[in-house]
Amino acid sequence: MKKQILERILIKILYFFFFLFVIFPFLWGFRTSLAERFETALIPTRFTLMHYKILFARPEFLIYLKNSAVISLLTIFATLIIALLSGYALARLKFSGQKLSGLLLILPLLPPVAILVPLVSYFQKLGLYNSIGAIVVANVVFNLPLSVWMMRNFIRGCPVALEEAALIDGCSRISALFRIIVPAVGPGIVAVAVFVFINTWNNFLYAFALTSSQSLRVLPQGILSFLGNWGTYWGGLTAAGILVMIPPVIFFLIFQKWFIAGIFGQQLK
Amino acid sequence: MIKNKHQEQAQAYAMLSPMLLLLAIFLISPMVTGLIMSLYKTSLSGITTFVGLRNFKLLLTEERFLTNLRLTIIYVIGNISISLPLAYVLAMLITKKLRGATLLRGIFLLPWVVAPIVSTVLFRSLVDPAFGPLSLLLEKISGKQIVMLADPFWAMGTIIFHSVWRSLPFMALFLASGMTMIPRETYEAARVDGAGRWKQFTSITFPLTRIHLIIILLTISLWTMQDAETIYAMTEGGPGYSTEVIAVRMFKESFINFNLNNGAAMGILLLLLGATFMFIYTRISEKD
Amino acid sequence: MKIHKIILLLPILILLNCSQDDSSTIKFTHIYDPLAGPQGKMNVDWIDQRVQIFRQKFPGFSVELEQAKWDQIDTKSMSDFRAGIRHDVLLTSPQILPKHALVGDLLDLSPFLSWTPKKIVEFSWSPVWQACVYNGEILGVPMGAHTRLCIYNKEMFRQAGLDPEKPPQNLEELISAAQKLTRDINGDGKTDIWGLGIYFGPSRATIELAFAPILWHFGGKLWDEKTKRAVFSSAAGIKTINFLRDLIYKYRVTPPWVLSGAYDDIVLRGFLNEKFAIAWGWGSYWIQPLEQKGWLKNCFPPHPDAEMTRAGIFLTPTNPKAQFTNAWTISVHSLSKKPEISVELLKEFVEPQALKNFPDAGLPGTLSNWQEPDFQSDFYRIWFQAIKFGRSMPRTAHYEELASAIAAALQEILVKNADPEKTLKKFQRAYNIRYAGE
Repeated sequence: MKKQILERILIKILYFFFFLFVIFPFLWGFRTSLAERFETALIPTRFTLMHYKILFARPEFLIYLKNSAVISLLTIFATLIIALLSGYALARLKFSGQKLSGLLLILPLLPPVAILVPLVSYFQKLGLYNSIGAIVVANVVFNLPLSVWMMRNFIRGCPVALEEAALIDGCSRISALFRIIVPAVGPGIVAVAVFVFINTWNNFLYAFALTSSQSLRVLPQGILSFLGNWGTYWGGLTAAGILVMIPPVIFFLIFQKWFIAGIFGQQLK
Repeated sequence: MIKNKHQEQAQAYAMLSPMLLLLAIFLISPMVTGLIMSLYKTSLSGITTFVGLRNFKLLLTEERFLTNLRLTIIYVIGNISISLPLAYVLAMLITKKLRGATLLRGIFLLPWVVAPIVSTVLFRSLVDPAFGPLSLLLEKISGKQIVMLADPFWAMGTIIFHSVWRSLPFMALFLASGMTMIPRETYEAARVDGAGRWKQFTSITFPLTRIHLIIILLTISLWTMQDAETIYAMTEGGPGYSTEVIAVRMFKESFINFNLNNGAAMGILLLLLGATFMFIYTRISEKD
Repeated sequence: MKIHKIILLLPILILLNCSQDDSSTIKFTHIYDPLAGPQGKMNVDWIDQRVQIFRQKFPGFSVELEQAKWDQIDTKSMSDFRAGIRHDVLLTSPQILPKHALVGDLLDLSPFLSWTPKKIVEFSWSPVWQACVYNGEILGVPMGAHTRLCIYNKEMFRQAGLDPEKPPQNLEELISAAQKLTRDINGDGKTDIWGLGIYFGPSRATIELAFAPILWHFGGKLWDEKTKRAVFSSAAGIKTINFLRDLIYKYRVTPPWVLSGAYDDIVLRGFLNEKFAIAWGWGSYWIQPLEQKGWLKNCFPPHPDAEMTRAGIFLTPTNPKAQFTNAWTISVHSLSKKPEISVELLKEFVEPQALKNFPDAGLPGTLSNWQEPDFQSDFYRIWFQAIKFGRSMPRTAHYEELASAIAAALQEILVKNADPEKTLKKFQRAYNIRYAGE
């Protein structure tokens, strides 16, 4: 009995330790975003919203925000449709070359930094360079392998019976996919969507390499510009960091259960 | 029936085609272009000459690149050897039924949710020599002022620490998902046989989550290996070349120094390094 | 079958979203993100203003702003040139112009500018102009003058028993003053004020602001223009390294933490937070923070009654008194479809009256500004001399590699305590293997 109590306490302490480890950088960032410039005390004596206000002094922050949002939504939409189609084909249909589907898991081996330079001239030749479309295509492409793989696993996990009934009733494959499979793998779709959203929202490289217009910049680029030519403006930097963090964190917390179930398995829900 | 089979096959290809097309155009063929580029040398004035493997030869005999390679391996292994044991501990905690565990689980994943750029700058401010709490703490402990990002050891330490912070929660959750698949009875049977905690771990938990271990090791190794943006934002590869991993060097060659052919050659070598890790992991998983 | 249509429409939708490459749009690429603090915002505001004026003069054209990071804008211009991506007007760095000249991504401005000799003198008095002219081609026009000198805290001079109106004149005086100024105020055994703040971090600034000026003092060179080889590991190079190392380890007048971080974080913040009594490599773009802090009076914006109240400045106390001097230069991309109009936009940016208000100019790059009464104070006369003594970086097409090789060598010697001669030779050899003879 005593041993069990001891164990419980130990578990709580460990939990607390991990909690602190994870949360401390966030707390520090939050503190810095509210402290005055050049304040060095761990807990500042005065708080200020100045750094947040500066972000909105010009329209750029909102423009970057809009770009990031548009790019993320388009990427999610395109990735989901393509991943559903391919995932379904991989999970349900028989075709020669099916065994090669394992290659999907090898594709992430390709380092994105290495293909950016050729990619720039490809996009230029296609007339896509310096457009929202270019960033969306790049994000879709780099998210596809894992998304398709996840989708394939979700579709495999759902019973074939319903779908067969629909097929016998004369439903086409495509409409069976959208009418029956999609509702059935809802949590899986959400998991993929959240996964794609986080990757896209946080991505800096593709926008950096594939666009140059000021009106097409995304939030992570804005953040990096704080580490600029005049030394680091920590207050503004952390304020922007906190704001940029909010959408994925909210998305994630809302869909947490489905996401964890989708990516890590039902039992953990 | 045969007609059906053909139909199914055609349908499958039709459904796969958007994905295959995109991957072929925007992933595979740039990689091939990269491979070709790595075999050429382009002078600044734009004259391109085929040089075979000369770019690779120059790199592999260059001290700086060998340092880049060594640091890449240190970075990957350093990250994994710290985060993996911790991830097992955290995974076991997570699988315990506890009040509030669901919420905590969500919080534990936050480091993975925030943008790498954001977390990098947070860590940079944590180790700022003037006001960063971590450098102040280090100063209290060691009694002397250490500028963490100026010292080769501590700079690499900070980078590894940041990447542990980012990858640990994801690893833990993934391992935990493996652990929940182990039936309770297995542990109970072991307990009846008098197996202690450690014995239960080595004889049940560890072997039964091995496939999860391999997948997560591979994923994290690739993430770490290809990570250029966080190190570039943290130290730009300094002090000296002491945190310049291959990915950072490649970024510099391609986007700052305009040595595109050299950058392409490094991309190929990085790819080979990734493949090596993959090979080693699959060999381990196939063993016994 | 609706779904099929949506899927087919998707790529078309994305393609529609594409930017049209319209030649009546002049693209201007700069480096200022308005989010990067107040300074970033001021510069973008200034650019907006110039663009407005240009558009009034040329109503048929619109200007699209593009942005790149300050250390990547030159490379972006070159690789976009190779990929066939057009830019029109852009900011460039004078150190990189030799590389631009070889790549051919910048337009020779001389046939377009049609400036009178008098107009050219406006710019050609400054060392930055020399870097802009390459093989007789004008590749860029300086937008200001970034030079550096030394700054000191008069109050600390007084406390250390030094004459606050007599700053050091040579390196010996500098070290002896710095030794007197280095102090532990509260008696806890740790130094609170360091005599000399100088930057040795992992960036180009280290070779430009610390290594090169002292190397020039000892009669050395970074790179030889005739043989096109790096020559920094000469006897002068070793003397330079020993001098820099002694500052930290022998004289102990410079703290070891100058080896990391950004140049601004170390020098600007260190001096303003009273960690340094003298700061080396103080930039002409840092006059405003001093005025804000109350250490200068009427210096920013410039005024005839400028006074150095708490901070004083003096020329770099080396023998040629030379500091690295550059500026942002502005150039026209050679893929521009409308070079004449692009040059008109460029001219709008280098109008002397406009440049006077350019926040990132550092100091005026145009001579007529220097003749105005506002610039006749002692304070600005010292700055003017600093520019005239100033030097550029060597004209190698592989300047960034040279700079990072030396910065890395320095870091290895200073941080890991490697042997100076061997290390310098090693890095020089590695550089020459790849780039000697260009």
